[in-house]
Amino acid sequence: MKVPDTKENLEKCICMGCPTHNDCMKERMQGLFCSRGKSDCELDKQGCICGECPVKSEYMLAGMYFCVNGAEA
Amino acid sequence: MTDGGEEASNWWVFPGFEVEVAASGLDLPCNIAFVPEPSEIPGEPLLYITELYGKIKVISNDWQVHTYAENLLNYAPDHRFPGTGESGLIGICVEPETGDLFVSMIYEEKGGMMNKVARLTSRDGLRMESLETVLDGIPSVKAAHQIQAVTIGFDGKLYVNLGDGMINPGVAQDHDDLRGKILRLNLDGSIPEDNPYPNSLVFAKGMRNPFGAAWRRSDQSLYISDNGPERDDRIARVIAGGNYGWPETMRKNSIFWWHYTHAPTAVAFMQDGQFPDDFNDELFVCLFGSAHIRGPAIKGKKIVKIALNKQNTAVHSAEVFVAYKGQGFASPCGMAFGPGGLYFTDLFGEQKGGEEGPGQGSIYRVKRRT
Repeated sequence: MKVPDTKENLEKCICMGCPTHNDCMKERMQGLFCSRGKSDCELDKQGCICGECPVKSEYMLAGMYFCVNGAEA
Repeated sequence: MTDGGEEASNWWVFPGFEVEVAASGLDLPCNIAFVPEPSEIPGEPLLYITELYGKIKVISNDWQVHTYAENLLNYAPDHRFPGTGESGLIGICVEPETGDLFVSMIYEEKGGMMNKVARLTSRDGLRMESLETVLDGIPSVKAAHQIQAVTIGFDGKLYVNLGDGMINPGVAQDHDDLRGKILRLNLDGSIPEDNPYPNSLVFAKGMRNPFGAAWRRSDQSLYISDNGPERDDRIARVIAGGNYGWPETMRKNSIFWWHYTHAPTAVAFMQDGQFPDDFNDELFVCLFGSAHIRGPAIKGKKIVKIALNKQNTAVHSAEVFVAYKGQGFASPCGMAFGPGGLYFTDLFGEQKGGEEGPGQGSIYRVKRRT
């Protein structure tokens, strides 16, 4: 299910607390990758907390690492 | 010990029982461990508590709270829940012969996170005097899936629950990697000669994030909780050389699983008569739920009780025993049976101001209604 890029979803987003969310992503204020698509920052996978995210639950998303793999269609 | 007024009334409890506040003013109280055979002297230790960000508190028989150890983490936690703030000082058990503590935690080394187990000693049991590292150098992550429960088995060995480290779940099947395993150690950290795999600390493999562990007297076995990805949180009885399936499956060799994840944390068996006989040998499981959620929740924020079948391969029943009904962030995390009842921590506490802060966590006791 496609995730709308809304203020409500951004408030629920937990990307900023993820161990993979690095300094580059923080500087560029990136998040809500399940809606906005993958990051353009260089990154190493340091673990994924998408499974704990209320946005993922609400929209019944199946994937993980949206910052790497991009938004669900 | 107080009736706790409003805070205690935030918990629904099974008919015939009541909840009271055992201790408050704690900072992110995580796991708890009772002294196996405490004295009756008022100032001597009764109960130890890990606080997630690097302190250990001890409660003496007169219910005074003392700081046993502090500054145990070598990095600054960032308080992000869920996420990088969910890790720190987690597991704890008391060695029955000496009263020493074994604790599990992560530490920073060369910019990366590692897991370790330490043995802490004290002459009076109220203030740590020395710390000896028993096991270290295992890669970890600054999030969940770190090193978790530590317990001492009926065989006198130390058992350690290790999460898979989150980054590469396949390590849970790799015999040469200690992540995603249950380890069995001599108390000095050496490998027992009778471990299932030669020259290896690995006792069982295929775990994902096994937070809780408890020993059951009736079958002399270790039971654990293990957290699934988006489904299949589970309970398993751990056998030597067992493979519990992760990352292919969370159901292999499990005796119970929740299809909808509730984030099981501590587990405990009612086996010392604190509750009526009907509850004897039942397994109690904290279901933490999503990290840092306000108010009651469908997902977690409960303690359930589970009756196992005679073969210990499945369950007869699983019922809610305690459930949060307040408007705060409290959620059951650590748990153990102790004097007069079942004790549990609420990690974040109520956080009435909506912000995490020091001294907001509590320990509650569930006891029979009188």
